[in-house]
Amino acid sequence: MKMTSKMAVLALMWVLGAVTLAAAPATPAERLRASESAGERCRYQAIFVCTEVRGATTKTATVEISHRPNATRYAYQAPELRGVVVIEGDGNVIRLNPADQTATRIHVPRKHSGLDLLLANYSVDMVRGDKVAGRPTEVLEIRHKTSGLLRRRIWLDQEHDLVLRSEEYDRQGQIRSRTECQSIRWQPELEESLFQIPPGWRTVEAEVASGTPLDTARLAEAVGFDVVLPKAPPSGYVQDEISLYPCPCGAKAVQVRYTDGLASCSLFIKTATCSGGGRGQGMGPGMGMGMGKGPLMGKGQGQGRGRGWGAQGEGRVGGCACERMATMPGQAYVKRTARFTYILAGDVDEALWKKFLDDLP
Amino acid sequence: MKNCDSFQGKLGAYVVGGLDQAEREAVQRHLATCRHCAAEVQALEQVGRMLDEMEPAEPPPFMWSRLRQELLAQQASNVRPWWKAFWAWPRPLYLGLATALVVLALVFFLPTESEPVVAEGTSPAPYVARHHLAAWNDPLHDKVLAGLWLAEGP
Repeated sequence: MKMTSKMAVLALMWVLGAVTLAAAPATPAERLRASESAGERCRYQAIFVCTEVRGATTKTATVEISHRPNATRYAYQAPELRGVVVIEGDGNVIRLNPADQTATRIHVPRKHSGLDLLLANYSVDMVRGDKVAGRPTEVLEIRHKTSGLLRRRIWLDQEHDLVLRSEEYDRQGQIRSRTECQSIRWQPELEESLFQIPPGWRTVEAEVASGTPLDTARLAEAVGFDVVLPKAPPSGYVQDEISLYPCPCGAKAVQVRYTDGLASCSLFIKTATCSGGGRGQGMGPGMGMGMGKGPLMGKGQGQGRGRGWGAQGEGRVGGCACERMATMPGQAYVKRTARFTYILAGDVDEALWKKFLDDLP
Repeated sequence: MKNCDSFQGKLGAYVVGGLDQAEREAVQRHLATCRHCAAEVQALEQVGRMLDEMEPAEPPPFMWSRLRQELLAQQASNVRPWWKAFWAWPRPLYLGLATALVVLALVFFLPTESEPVVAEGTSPAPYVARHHLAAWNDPLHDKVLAGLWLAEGP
């Protein structure tokens, strides 16, 4: 065979290989990566229903979502939320409260993707096809590699890679939350005003801006006590960042975030006896704290929404209600020692975090 | 008749030979003078002869087991309930017992400083909302739910 013929055969094989690779279906991990950036490629308006198990009760809300690349508007329909809207965009999350026409802006810097960490700790399998809101989807199951436990199941729109349904499970296999699309319109006309603070509203730059990472020395100076962290979080978790958190009572707390790529927890550390003087930031209905200063922390607006973690809305006149903080199964665990109050919030599985919690000084 | 009364209870034993010699002689002296008691002795002797002539009947085989069961049941019904024994205690002991129970309840049910408070208390919802904000850009973080916490919170 002549040299030119050999070259032609090799070129043909290369082309065939390239075509085969291009036509091969994406792996589940690749589908997951694609879903991460789905919002950058599409525009839609949809109705989602989310349900979360909170202790002995569940919370359900219907949400109207309007999305264009780099901006999303979540309009919550539940009556008790009184039309509160959350807008995400430009590295900020803005809460619009129509009750007092106030926009609270919170900076949430976009960090490096934690997807590599997720894929290091979890396996992703594509299990079947399904339909959600009339759309064909692919169902991905995300299992913890070590324990084999199913922790998340997501339904990805086949065309746009958008998550149309998501279910989160605890270590006992019980569902913790579900968010599901009920209807969706693609490429709608969306007015830009949907993603902006309405004219004439008061804008508040939130004191609870998401973490300004600090080293322990600067933290100690800021909070007035030495920050001693437990030696190690549960296997697979990494310490993400340490930051300051101005507690609603006015005291300063340390926030340490841990994540394994999918689940995450924040550990808040504060002195056992807060110095706060009732300078609460307004917790909304049923949270037991009011807006403003001093005695308004009392009574609050506890409307008996029944979340299953104890009485609300009592407060202390001029004092700090945090001293009576109650554990909230699945979402928050409270531990007190003689010197400190610890609040572990997020994906709290006490069995998994027990040793860590026991080691807290 | 008054004299008869003292012998009436002994006539049955006299007929079956159950009296000692002195008692038997005293009964014989009385019978010699009392026609009423003598007639009764004669009647008793006649009954005795009739009984002697009868064939002894074997008891049914289950009679003893049934009798035993009845006795045990009777014995059980006579046992005092355990709790009735408390009523026999001296009264100061009641006070001591009540105090001990209260102390035990305090020890077991009041939280210690290092234990989590799980009952009454303020909601930690602001901390959960804050956590969701910190996790806002995590992969697969459910922003619809996170937004719900934020919508409910500050």
